[in-house]
Amino acid sequence: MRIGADEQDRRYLDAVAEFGPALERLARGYEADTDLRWDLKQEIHTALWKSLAKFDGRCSLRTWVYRVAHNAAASHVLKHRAKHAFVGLEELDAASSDDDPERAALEHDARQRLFKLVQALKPADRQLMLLYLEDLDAASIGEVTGLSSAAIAVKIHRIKAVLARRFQQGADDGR
Amino acid sequence: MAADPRGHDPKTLWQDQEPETDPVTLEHIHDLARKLDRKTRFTPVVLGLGLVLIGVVCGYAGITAREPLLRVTAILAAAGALGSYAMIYRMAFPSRDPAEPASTYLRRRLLRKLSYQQGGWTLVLLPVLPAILLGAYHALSKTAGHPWVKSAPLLILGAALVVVSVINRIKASHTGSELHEVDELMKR
Repeated sequence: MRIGADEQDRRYLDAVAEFGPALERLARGYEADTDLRWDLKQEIHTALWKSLAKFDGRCSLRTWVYRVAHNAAASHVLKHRAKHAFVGLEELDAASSDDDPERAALEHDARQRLFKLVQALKPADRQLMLLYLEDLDAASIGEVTGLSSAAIAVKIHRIKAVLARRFQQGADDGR
Repeated sequence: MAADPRGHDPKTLWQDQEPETDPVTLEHIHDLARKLDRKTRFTPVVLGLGLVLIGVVCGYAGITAREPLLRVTAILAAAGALGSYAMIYRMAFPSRDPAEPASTYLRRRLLRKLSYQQGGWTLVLLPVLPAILLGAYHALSKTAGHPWVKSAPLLILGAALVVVSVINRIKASHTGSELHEVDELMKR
């Protein structure tokens, strides 16, 4: 069902008031380059605004916003992926402490390390990592991604392992 | 919860980021949406104009051609261009659900990308292929000149298609493995 432009604007402003910071973090998680990140932010917000004309209550507003944002971000990543080589959680999980000292020093700042880690992931794993970092529970992650709870449980286990080891490792490097 | 030994909790670190100073305003969104709508409307017009141009050229070639073979080629080219237009239009404007679950959306995008990289894009050439082949046959059999010179345009076109196909096949292996991972994840 189509709605009026004012109602669409109101829905958008409500959504941004509640989820604006999360959308910004999502854009940072998907794009490291400042200019491209601005483009991505615009793409996400435009997709969200347009989508809210069709918001049909089939899911919660939060799920809707995250779905639209992740879908816009996935398109962005697939469009610009020639510049990047992504890895999966399994590869990160299996990797030993192979960071060279120079890189570890550069990435000493914990948040920078977190950015690097998230931005290196393949889109499917990145979706899960970002939703986990936003503190969504497994059921909510399932609603946004459409994955089964079993698949999410396995991935969250890996995410926790990667974060624990990477942060432990980064702190050790920095000592 | 995975915590950094120096007291950094990854979730807290992530959620406590400083906001950027350049927020996207509603006016800006309206402007972008208008531009997007214009582009959406403009693209079929450009495609349509291209189609009309092809129709005019083919029509003129058909009317002025002395040989029946060339007339048939012109008719096939015009009809083929119409078929290609319909296929390009469908590819350019797929129907989509903006709030599709993220994994389903990602899978669909990867599938589309893989199909393109595996040569799906060449399908848009299929409707004009009879005209190309008939034109090539006419050029080779009915006109004067060295066979290599006469077949040069077709050979160049073939070579370009092979190069593009090889590059896309290499890219397809990466996309394929990623799609496989998403499939596995969705099967669990």
